[in-house]
Amino acid sequence: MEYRSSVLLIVCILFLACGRSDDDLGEVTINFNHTIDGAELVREELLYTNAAGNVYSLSRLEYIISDIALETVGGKRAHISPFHYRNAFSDPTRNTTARVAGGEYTRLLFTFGIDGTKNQTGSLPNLDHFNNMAWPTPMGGGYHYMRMEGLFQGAEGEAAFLTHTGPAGGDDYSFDVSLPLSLSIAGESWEVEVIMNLNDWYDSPTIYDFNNRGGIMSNTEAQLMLQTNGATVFSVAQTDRQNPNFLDHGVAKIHLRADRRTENHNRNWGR
Amino acid sequence: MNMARRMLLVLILVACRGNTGLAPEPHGAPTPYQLATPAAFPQPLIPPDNPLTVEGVKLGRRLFFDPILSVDSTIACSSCHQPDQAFSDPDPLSQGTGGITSRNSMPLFNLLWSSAFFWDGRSPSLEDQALHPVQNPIEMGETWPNVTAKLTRHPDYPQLFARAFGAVTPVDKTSIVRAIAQFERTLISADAKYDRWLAGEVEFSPEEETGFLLFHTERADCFHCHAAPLFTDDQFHNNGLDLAPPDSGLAALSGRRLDRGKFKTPTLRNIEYTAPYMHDGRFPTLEDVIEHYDNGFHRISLTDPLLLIRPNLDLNPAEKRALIAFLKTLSDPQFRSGANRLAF
Repeated sequence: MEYRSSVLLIVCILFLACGRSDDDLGEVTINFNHTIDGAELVREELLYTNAAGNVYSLSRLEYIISDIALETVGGKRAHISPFHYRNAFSDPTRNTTARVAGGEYTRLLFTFGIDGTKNQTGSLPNLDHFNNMAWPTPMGGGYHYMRMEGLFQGAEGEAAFLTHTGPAGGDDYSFDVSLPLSLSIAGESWEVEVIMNLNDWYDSPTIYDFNNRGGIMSNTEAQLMLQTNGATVFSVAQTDRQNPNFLDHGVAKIHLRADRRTENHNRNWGR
Repeated sequence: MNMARRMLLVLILVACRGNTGLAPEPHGAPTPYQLATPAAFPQPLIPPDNPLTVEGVKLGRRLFFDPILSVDSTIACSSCHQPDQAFSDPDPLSQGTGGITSRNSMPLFNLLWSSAFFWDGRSPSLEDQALHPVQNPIEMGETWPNVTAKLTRHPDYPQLFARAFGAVTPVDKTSIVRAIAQFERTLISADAKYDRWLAGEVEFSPEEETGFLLFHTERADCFHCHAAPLFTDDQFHNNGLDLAPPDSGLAALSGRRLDRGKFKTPTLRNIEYTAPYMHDGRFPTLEDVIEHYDNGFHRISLTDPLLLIRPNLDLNPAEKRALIAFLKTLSDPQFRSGANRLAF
């Protein structure tokens, strides 16, 4: 009896220790990169032109991506990261990596910004880069989705633009992005390249002219326009680490939220 | 004990061996300093090779206030970083052993949450920062070999260094700046009226509340650079002080022409105590600062887009007073008095 107990105990411990085979786990890295109609981002140089004809430069591009996941045809999801901060001029923020279960994944999903039910002051880790993205509590609280800032050639010399998107007026202007891909994970490492084309924020379906915009944090019309234009901002490419050539390029499919009202909006200014 | 129990015990011991590495500390090892950081602040940045100890902090405090670090024993760190000014200097520029400095002395507190030091961010750590003033010909005008020699032959310091870092660690510039950095990391200010309001312990006056709203909306738009809870973004901006910035600022470090005139965003905590303002101390009062941001800054291509985008604010006098009333809610009189600093 004593012998059988010992064997049983060892088997149990080995089972708990080993759990399951990790052979099919694959490491997936999601890189967030940027372009302006194919051009590389150069900081603070008036090199770019948008659909409205604004010649502009970029001094800041920071944004938050949340609920990043891969999805199979059958709807099984592998979560990559609950939220990711990206600063276009800070290379360490470029990617997020996770080990995910083996499977055939056909979609990369994420939310641009933070879902309104979660976007509350203090809901993200207390880190400088998130604190610097705070959306002040008197303006509804939570966090900016994006801070894109720069200069453009105005009629009377250089002027500024601030494309600050977020929960203006307490409404939720975040949006879901669904990008097609084909990841067959059975132990391999994969890299997925998500590319944001900055000019796509400003061209379709509505042309966004910097001349007509000041600060837009209280401008729900501008927020809605940018949310809608965001449908075509992202594309995706993928590669495995043994094959540096991109295998596929997809185009984002966007799902605007049906109910944009933030339920948790409050006016207690964070106390 | 039956076989199964014996095996279970062995397995538990094996499983837990990673947590049993608590070798007894050598006799006389410095005592870890229990640093209480505000819950509302981010995780502090403390380099693993310079943990805070009671003995290290005490030594650093003594060094900070001791003019022995300067060439003629007239200037201490505290000469230009005065405790009752929230460790800044009431003069626009500071008097050193070799003349007048070119920039205003920055206040010293909440440094645990900063990743770059000096107005131009040229030091990546407090330890590195503390290396500079001693050998700066304007500030202390001393050399590190001389400082080391003076401290080594001092009747107290060798023993204080041995207690702080162990007898085998030499008294040298590395251990000196480590001690000073340890003391500076204990300078924490988070007990302002604002903090108590945030905790629901006090109420703002109507004027303070108006100022809070101006500060945290696009009307005055202070929050983008002076983000709570530290009231700085720890970044660099050109805030339109000059048509042609005479001070290179961040450009001296980066080499980028477009960084000319960019300086580190100072915290607004204790701003009431840290006059005069800006990197060159050009504004004697908070009223002057408000006037600058209201309609006094220069619109040049180097000016930060956060400022350049807006027309003149044209705040009315009541709004200006309200902003200042809110700024004064960031004052921490306990920190200024040093009550929390002298507790150990």
